[in-house]
Amino acid sequence: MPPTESPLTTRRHTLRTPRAFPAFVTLLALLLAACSTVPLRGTGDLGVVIERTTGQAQIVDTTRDRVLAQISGLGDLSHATVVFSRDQRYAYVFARDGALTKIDLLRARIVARVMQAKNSIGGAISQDGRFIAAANYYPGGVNIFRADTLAPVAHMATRGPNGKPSRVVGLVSAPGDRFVFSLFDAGEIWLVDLAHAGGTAEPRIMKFRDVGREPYDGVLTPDGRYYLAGLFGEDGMALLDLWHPKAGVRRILEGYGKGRRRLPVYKMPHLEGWAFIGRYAFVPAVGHHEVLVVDTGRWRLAGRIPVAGQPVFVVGQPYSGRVWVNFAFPHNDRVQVIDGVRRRVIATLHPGKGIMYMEFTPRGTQVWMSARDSDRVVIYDTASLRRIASFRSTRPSGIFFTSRAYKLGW
Amino acid sequence: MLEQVILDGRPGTPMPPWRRFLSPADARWIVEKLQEGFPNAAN
Repeated sequence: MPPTESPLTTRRHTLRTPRAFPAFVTLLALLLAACSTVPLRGTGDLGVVIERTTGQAQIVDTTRDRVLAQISGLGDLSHATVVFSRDQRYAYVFARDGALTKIDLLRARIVARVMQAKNSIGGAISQDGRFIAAANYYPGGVNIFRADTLAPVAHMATRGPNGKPSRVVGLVSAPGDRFVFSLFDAGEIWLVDLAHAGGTAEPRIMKFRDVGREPYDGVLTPDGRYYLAGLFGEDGMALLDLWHPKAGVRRILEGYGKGRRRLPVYKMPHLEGWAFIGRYAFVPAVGHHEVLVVDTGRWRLAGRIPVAGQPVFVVGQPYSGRVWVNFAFPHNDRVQVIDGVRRRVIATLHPGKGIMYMEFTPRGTQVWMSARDSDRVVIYDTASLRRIASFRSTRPSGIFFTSRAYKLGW
Repeated sequence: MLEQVILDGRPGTPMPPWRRFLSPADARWIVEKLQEGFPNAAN
């Protein structure tokens, strides 16, 4: 029984039997209190750290900077994503091997689990929190589940015009119980509407063809209006205006690397943590040691910032005007901090070896970084740029805080 | 053949060349392990 239920249950008894069993009621209250092994606490300062090689995850507390529990049996976490229920109590872990696991953060245990594909890349939770969508590489397609039970709701095969199955990337939740995702092999973007799903109705799908070669990831802008897919097979990005989907997908930033040789890419960049400062967005350049600055009013390239390597994540530090960048191998032992207004690097940090990810506490006072090859999670104070704490973690990769529950796009 | 793909990459695909970081012997070891079923051999 969840700990929050005990006072309610007790009160109901009290109302029904006002004087008859006061001793019994007291005893019951004590028993119920004893049953709940978890002390009362909120979940707004909790998070999940993925330990990629052991199929485990650590549940962390960002107020006390410590590990509360460890969950095992989550599958192959060599590429894993986590989203949260709208009450911030449950975490959904998408594993590489197709496992989708629902974790109760308060009780630190698995409450539901499905093997939904052979090879999966991530997923998202719908705006109202009712549905979970998982994006798959093999056998391809998108699966939709009920968030409460993980019962299947819908399956969408993702075949391109040639009939071949395509890998799915960049799946995001969008306003109105919609999901948007990209087909890496087919070069398409699909917009799925679940407003009538859940019963017998099929999801409605709008397909956008020829959006560009090999979209590798996608992101929803913070205002929920645009879906932007990065292209791997060409220099540019694909833009879908969700307010005017019938206008189609626009190609932007075409030829941003023109005239310069693209370097070999040792790790695909990600778009999910992208940064906005005023009207400018900061995104990784593919195959170049640069962060691109995009004017989101006209959707044109507004500048380039030279950095220490090929960016993987370009993440905005909340309420600061700063952008943090980590890098692909062989430059993955450093993190750079960019002043987004002056558009230049102001600090180069060496938090550890194999820096995989940077996650900010909800109001941006701390950044938690996973140093995979140092087996540590390292916490920096964002004001002083100094290391304030660290803890052991086995090959940590993604770090996900429950504050994501209130943001659309994941 | 597969060793060459690892060392020199495949132009036009996401596969990058690893010659800067791996020796031909390393590449051969990776190919052998992959053909044995690595990395899922332990499962």
